[in-house]
Amino acid sequence: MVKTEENNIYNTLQKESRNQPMDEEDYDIIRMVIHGSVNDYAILVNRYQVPVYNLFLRMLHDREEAKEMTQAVFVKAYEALPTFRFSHRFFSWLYRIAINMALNHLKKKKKYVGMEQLINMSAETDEQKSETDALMKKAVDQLKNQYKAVVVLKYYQQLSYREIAFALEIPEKKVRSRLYDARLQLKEKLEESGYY
Amino acid sequence: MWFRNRKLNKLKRAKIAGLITPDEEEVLNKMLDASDKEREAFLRLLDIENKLNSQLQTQESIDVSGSVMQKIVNGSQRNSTVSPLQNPFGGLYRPAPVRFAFIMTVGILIGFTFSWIFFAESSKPNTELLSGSMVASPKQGLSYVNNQAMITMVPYQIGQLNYLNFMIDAKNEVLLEVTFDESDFLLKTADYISADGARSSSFDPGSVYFTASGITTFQIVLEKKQDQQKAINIKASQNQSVLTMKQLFLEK
Repeated sequence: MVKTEENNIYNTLQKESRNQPMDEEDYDIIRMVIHGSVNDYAILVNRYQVPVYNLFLRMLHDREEAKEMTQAVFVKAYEALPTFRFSHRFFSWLYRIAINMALNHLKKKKKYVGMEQLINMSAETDEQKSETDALMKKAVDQLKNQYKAVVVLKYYQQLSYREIAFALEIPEKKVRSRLYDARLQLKEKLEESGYY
Repeated sequence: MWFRNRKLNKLKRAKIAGLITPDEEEVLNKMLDASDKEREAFLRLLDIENKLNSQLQTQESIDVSGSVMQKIVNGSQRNSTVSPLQNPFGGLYRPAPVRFAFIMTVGILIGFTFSWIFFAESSKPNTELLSGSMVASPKQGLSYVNNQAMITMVPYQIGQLNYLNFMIDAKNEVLLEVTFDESDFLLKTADYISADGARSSSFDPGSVYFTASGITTFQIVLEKKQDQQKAINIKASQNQSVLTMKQLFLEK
């Protein structure tokens, strides 16, 4: 029964991810850009810059870096456009580039966001939010990068399991398993912080 | 116990993922009823799932389209304004496969050039030994062909010096023996000019031995001590059986 429902969900996702008007529009733009109409690329940048920027913001916690990385992703994607496969959704492909860049960036800089910075970040962005939300965000930020990536993509970027699997280049089963482990780690962190 | 924990974890995962059936949920509740600690831990997990789902999805806005397009256009202009002499391929090798092919081609060309220089250098004729050989008349030589080997020897004479130039193409190793009377000839040099296979040669007074496999060229230079016609003997053998033997008379 579980498997049947899983299959239904998978089929729904597949249907959702195919032949959507937005995808077709993206494909048309990509074709035009590849054939020399460079300015049309701005449509894609305008369409996806906000989610990409917010992905970097969630991962890096630095607005300047997030802005620079967002620009870099779009330039990189433009350069790689001739290798784009039309069997993929453009924004999934873009997310794959972005998440890889974010993880590489974190790895290179070995950047661990300090507690003070996190609190400041929360104070800046969550003035109107409850303390609960802030504690949750802090716990998410303390997760290891591979767990943080799935949580950010699932809950903050609202990607499907299939899209996360594509972006991180791992099987869907692994996505589910990482998410479950991430929740267990979040529980431990929230318990340590006295949330429970 | 292990089986119970495994099943419990499986049901917990299914519940959180929203993929649990009513029957399974009933089993899960029964299992959780057995342990308050388990129930509390699971409720916390559910709470976390709900909290994560209810996180406000406010996205900070940004507009980088201008700067991105500027960078792209600048990049394109930089490519297009570069002199063909400086960058003859422009954006052509930007796609990875094309770039790979380009690098491979350049690599092959460089490798070929170096090979050519190396072999050209190593096979350069000994000008000291062969000086004037082009104007010398070819003398009686040796020619032998079967389906396994081709052996050719072309002699040239310049003054007192007799040049014996061997060209051999053999699938299997061929042993060449050149014998002469040391009172008639003085061995000046004997060496490989080029060889595909292993190089192995030895000299005794009055004889030179060398092996050849693949395409091999070998040169022997003998200085004649007397004016009269004197003989040299050449024997080629393969797998201890004689392929050919010949006696040549070298004149002054």
